[in-house]
Amino acid sequence: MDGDEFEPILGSLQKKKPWEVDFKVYDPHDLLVKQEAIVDRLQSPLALSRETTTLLLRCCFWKEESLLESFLLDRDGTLAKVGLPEHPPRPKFEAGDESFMCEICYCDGADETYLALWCGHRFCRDCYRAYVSGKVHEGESWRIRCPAVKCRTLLGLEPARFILADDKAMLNRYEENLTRSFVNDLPTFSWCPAPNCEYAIECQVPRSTWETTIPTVHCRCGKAFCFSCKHDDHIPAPCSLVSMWMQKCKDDSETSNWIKANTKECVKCKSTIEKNGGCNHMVCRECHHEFCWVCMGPWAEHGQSYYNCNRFDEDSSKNARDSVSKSRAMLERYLHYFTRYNNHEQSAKLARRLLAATEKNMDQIQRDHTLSWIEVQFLSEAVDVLSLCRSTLKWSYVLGYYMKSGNQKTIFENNQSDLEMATELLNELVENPITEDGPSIEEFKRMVIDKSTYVKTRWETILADITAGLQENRWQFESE
Amino acid sequence: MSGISLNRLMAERKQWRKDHPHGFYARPRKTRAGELDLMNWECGIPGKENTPWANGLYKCVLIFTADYPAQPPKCQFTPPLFHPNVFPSGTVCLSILNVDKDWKPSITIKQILLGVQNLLDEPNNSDPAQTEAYQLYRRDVTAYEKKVRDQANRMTRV
Repeated sequence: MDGDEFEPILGSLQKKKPWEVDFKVYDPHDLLVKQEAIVDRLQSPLALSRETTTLLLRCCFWKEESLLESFLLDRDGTLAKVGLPEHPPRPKFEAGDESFMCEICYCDGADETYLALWCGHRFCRDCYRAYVSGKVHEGESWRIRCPAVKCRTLLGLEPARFILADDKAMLNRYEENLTRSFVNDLPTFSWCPAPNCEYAIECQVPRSTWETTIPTVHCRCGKAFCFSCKHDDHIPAPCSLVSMWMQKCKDDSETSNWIKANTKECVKCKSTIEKNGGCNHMVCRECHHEFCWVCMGPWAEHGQSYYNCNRFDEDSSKNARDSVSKSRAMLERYLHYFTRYNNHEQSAKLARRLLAATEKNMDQIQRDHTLSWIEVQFLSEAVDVLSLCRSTLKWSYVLGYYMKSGNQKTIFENNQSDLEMATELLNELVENPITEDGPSIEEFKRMVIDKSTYVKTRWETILADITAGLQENRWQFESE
Repeated sequence: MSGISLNRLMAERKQWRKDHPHGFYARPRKTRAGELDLMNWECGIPGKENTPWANGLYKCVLIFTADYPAQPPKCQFTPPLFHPNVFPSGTVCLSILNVDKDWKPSITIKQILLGVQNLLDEPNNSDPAQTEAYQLYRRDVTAYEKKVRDQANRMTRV
């Protein structure tokens, strides 16, 4: 817990960069504290039992102000709307009497033990336990209602805990479901999407600015992701472009572009034909139609000019060729961006492997040169910078793909290529282990730190420019 | 809750024999060996008077699982019914028969059948289950009611 206290303080010391957003990481315990704090805040102005306050808050998705307002305007109405008493009675099991009959299992009489919520519907202990356990198993928590037909009375937290008291595992699950529902019900909270990560992130940045300031958050587990679309960190490309790009890559829509660029359809039977050599005299394998690959006209009209189609300038042939070359150009453009996007993704993976190697390297340096642990940190810091830049570069190609050409794009591309070059140089430097005939350790350290600092500056420059551009609406994007 | 499904169904049967709404029937199927199969009930639901459904007796089966009454039974018309909220398979789409909606373990067979009877003349437009009846009901109520009446006349009690 102590470490956490420092986060906001450190955060406020370092000036926030324009592309950074404020957020807070919560562990399960913090989440409990947070919920309790909200209940505390509202309990005294509402002057209700803790139980009812909590349920009211959950029913209105923790919107404190609107709850307070509607409560002050119409106290009874607000309570009635969610079907809650001011002070629900403490749950207890009671002994049955002659008139008792459980409407679930039809057991009856004085031998049975039952429980009734304030609505008065009585059910035997076993049925209540089975009912609540079943609901908790399905992931339910505070939304569980009285088992009576059409009864809207909420079971409530205290009765649920009372009923599950003997089943510790189920009780834990119930508490987990409550916290899960808290995070899910609040739009300003989100679970970290990393597998098995139990942290949640709070980010107050308004939804309306998500397209211009990409809400990248960093979980304590190390995962960096976009608070808006939950995708892995994709700064500097806005979510809308990312989703278009991912769809494009997933669709493999370029297969059809390839077909368009490299094949033609038989004029007669529409079979797709790839010309992989030979002369222009085509004989369709399917329908045996004979035609000219160049002008697509019937071969019979070509007479003896086997290797030179003199019908090339006919209008129809021109149109066909135009469409083929346009699609070829689009494909080449896509491939240009995809190759670079993919290259940075692969390099980022290698960088992660590099980190492991670096740690070994640091160990080695530490022993060989009798340096302290803190003195060899420069290497792992350099690799961190490297990973960061790889990710930014990768997504900058998605941004570039959709960006309209023009002066602004030229500036962007210059920044991009500066960062790219600096990143590659740093990568090379960090990858090469120190050798006997190479520079001394002090020299090497100085070089790495210099390079890292420079790369970091380039990285900040491009991010600052892109963010400013997004906020000023300077970039023009086009979708296909 | 699995242990109680059979006991509960036995109690349901007792209740039903003691008292059930007029015109309805509900009884567990008999296996070939002549034993009662409490998990499968044959039921009949009469159409309400003064509605196009009147005079018809609509046959359905209630299929229970070991999770009953935590989970609702499935209600399926045999043969499938012309009705906006009945799937082509005959299965009824009704909130009290959905565990994520209004199913409660205390809902009785009597309440289920009365609920389905209500649904006959009060279809739920926001939950269509078959196109034929849904489209006709929306486009041409007169033609829809005629079709319902024809169906009622085909499915009279024998």
